Amino acid sequence: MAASLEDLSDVELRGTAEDIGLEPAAKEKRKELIARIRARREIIDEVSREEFARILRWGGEEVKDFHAKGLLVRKFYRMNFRKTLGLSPEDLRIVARLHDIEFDDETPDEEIATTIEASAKRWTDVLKRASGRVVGFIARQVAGDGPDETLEAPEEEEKAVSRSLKKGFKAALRFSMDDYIAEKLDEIEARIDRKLDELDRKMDAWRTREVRHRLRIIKYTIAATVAVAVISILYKLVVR
Amino acid sequence: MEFDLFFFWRRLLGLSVAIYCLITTADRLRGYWRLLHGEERHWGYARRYLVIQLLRMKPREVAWELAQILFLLSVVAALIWGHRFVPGGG
Repeated sequence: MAASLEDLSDVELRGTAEDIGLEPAAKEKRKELIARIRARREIIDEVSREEFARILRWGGEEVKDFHAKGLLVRKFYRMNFRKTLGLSPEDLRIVARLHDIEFDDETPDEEIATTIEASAKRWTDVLKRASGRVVGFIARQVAGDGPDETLEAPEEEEKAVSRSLKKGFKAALRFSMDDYIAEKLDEIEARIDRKLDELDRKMDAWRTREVRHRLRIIKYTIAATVAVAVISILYKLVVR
Repeated sequence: MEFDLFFFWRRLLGLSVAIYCLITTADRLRGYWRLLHGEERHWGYARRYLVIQLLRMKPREVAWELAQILFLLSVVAALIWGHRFVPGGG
């Protein structure tokens, strides 16, 4: 990374923390957050790109050969681990390590899986899950998937499925749009912050230049006084 | 004591420069007084900004200019003190 963590603005620092799965508290101090980011990065450094790619592929994420490790890390921390079925024991331990879950060599895989799944409920966005459930409920109602409801004609069933699919698509689109807008807003905020920092640096340079200029004026005034004093003393020597 | 044009010019110059300095300094001080005592919100911000700017000022950046000023002031003092050893009017 080009800029060190200390040079980043608060917004950028929070963004960096969120990219690696940390949730900065509202009143968390910069030093503490930087320490947490460093600790998390150390853990991430121990995991190879291939291991991230393998876990992401398990989660159904698309991983291309040209995708950098940083991107895979961001994708990893956006993943949902509420179900860990099918993850190899090795990957389970990697996931647990990357989420600061404590375990040792003797901890059974099932226990690690249960801890990951339990913690994942906290990692995921509660609101999103709730809205997902609402959409699912509406889709079930429309499609008539309930146990006591049966549709008579296959055309009607087809229509209901189509309607529910449309609603599902709409909901998915809305969620991805919300994510996209939130991401863009963060980017804009970070850009504004960088601009403000730049302005501040320029103001610093301008202030120093201005003070130096004023001091130079004072210096020239005193130099003129010296010149007059010298002329005066010479004049006195000449006319005495 | 007879009239001397040089000494007259010297006194006139000193007097006019002193009056000019007095007026300019008083005007600046009035400005700063307004900055530091305004009760509106924007003056509050300006006040804080001024304090921040003052605190962030690094004397090392203008050290050379300050040293030159101190040197010139000592030269002026020496010259004024030297005048008493040269006999003559003024």
